[in-house]
Amino acid sequence: MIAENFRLLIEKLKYKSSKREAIWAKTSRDEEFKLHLGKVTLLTDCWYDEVTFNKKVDLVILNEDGEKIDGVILSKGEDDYELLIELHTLAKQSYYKIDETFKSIFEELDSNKVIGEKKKHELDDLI
Amino acid sequence: MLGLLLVGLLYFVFFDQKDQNMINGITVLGTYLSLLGIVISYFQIKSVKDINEKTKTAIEKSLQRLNQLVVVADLSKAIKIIDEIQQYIVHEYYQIALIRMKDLKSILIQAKHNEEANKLIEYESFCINLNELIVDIKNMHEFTTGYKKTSLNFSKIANHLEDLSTTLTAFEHKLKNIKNDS
Repeated sequence: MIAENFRLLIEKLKYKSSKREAIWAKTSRDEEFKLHLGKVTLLTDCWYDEVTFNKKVDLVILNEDGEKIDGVILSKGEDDYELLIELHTLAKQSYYKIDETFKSIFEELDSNKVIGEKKKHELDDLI
Repeated sequence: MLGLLLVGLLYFVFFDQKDQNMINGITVLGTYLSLLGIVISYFQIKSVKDINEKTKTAIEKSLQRLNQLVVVADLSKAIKIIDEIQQYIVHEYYQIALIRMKDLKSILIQAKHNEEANKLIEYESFCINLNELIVDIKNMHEFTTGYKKTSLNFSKIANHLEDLSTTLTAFEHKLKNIKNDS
């Protein structure tokens, strides 16, 4: 069970992210995304914990000097895990622009034009 | 001297013959000398004030230059530390790399709060680079302690460090040129 202020924070972040009004960036971890908010940085990460053999998700708040102000970590099966993983998914979708990508793919597929590109020099494959 | 002659002239013009005695003469002379003293004091005070202001400006300029030199020295050190960290990462000495990353962060935070540096630095890109370093330190810490053992992209950390090095090198050259111009 997470604190009420964290629940509120997650809900607000989810709302902003779903409206495409939050710019998430990727960090040096494959599944971690960050968001700058004034003087703080919010980080959300999802990983497989090799000790507990369980999937985990977290949300961390860092100040401008990199000190951890607060954070929440939840394992799969815990209360509110789904709430936090939804935020992580939204952050990921926002960063990779997944919805926009699908939209452009569908537009291409629904059009009457030929899709795909032909190589300029077919002979290149034979060399 | 001219003033003395003028006062003498005025004394003989405005004072009746019967009032022109030694006591009145001394009074007029005393008044003249008092006024002269006030005028001299005024110019002396003004001169001291000008000297004080010039001294203050010179001290401020010296402090500013000293500050710039300190920042240049710190930046050179930071750039060397970045090279060091990259070597440690290549050779997989992650714990030493983490210690040096923390040293680097400390130097950069000092530079960030330096007023002189703030005026010249590409502040936005510097802050982005610093934030990336801060997050990389957190991730490296979690990796070395075994809290999050997987999914750390070291080539991305190296890229962040390279970007930071570029920003700092540009900033360092800017500061050095200002030092040579002044």
